[in-house]
Amino acid sequence: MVDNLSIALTHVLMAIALWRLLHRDDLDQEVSPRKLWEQRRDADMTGRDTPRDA
Amino acid sequence: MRDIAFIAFLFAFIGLGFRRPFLFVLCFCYIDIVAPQRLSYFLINSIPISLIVFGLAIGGWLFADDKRDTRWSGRQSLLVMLLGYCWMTTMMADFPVEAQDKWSWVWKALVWAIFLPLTLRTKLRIEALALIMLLSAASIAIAGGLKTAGGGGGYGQLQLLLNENYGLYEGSTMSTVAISIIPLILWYRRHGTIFPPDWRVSLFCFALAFACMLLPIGTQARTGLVCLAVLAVLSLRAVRHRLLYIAGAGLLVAAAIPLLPQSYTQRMETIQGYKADQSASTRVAVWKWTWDYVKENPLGGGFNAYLQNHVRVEKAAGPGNAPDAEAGAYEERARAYHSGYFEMLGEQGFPGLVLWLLLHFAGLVQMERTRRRYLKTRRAEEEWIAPFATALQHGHIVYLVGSLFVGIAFQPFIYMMLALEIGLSTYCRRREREAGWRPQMQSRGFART
Repeated sequence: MVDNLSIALTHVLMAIALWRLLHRDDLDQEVSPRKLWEQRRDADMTGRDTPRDA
Repeated sequence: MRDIAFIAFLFAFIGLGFRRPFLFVLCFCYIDIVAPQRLSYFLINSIPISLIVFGLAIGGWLFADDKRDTRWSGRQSLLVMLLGYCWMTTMMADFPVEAQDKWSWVWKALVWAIFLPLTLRTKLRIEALALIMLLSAASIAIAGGLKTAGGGGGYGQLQLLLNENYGLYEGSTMSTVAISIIPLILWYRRHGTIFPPDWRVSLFCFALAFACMLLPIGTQARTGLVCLAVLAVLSLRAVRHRLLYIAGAGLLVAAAIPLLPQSYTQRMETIQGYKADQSASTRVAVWKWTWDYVKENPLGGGFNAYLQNHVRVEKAAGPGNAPDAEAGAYEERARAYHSGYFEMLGEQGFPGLVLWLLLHFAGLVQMERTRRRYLKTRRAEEEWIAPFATALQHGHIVYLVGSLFVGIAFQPFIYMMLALEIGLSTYCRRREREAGWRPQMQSRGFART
């Protein structure tokens, strides 16, 4: 009884974790901090160049 | 019913691996720790599921994973040397058949520890591996904790899901490992992203850490108590409010002592006088034998060389009128080392012990370096690194203390923790190299990016 409870609880949690991992892009590819910074900078620059929609 | 659930879970796990090959890696770790094939009575216990997933994991990495930024670490080279050396001693072992028996799982643990860091390229992968290791160990720890809380247990009596001394299902091994994962559990509570921090995660993590603390009581493994004391002292480095922590820990101990079973307190009292305790006296005699043996055979006797020992143990009189309290001498044969250090010394000789010690101490030093480097970072995406390095380092120290009294020099779970450490170091190096950045220090007063 206790054994089954322990197995069930941990395995359900593992199953949820795996399901969530399946949908995470950063599992296989992580954007480096510099790239992230560059992306943000580029986005800012284009944001400044083009007038924003209201 | 349980068998069907295991089969469904395992096949679903493997199935997901075909979409994300890294999940094969996690699947192998799960199989290695939980050993579902041993808990099951049909289908998966008749096919070499562990070997199949091992192949899938390595194949998945070889053919489907991005290897551009894969890095090699010095500790992996040490592991390769240890693997080669162990293979050599197995070939020249005193007991070739028995040595081959242990080699059949040791090589897998070592190869896995060499391979695993190559796959740990992203933060999420590191976290996922830590989570699967924790949850796999939790399936044993929760059952053990609940049984202990329910009044079960006793030395060699607490049944941990499986009624055999396999891997983590052995009482003393599990007590040591359970204590060594507590820092990692507490790390996950605050830094997990698969299960982001909330009250449910906190509740589970605290309950799991408590179950882990109960295990040494349930298994009555004295090592567990020593490990717990070491961890309590180590945690002083990591906690924010030290005085509060000391007061809380003192209160907890004072409250727990009256609730402990008498058999437990009696057994723990034997820590003080090993000469009156048969198990401890035998241990010391075996260690003396090992030292004498290795002086004549400096390259060790290969795996399971202890089988040839023959020791005469003199036991002092113990307190009370218990049947084993009388003084006396007795002879013992083929007694195991009951110490990771003497296990390495006796089986792999001086070179093996040196390699093994180097491997572990290099790990501790690396974690300390990583910890210091990232301790004061203010970049939100790096805040998990220093606490993670600290958690791994503390777990590692607990393991090294535990293996003073338990023969777990090749425990696969610990090699996975070692792989996590290597993975963390190479991950940080890669990040720094990629960006040419160092962690932004708080003292310099830079703004958060």
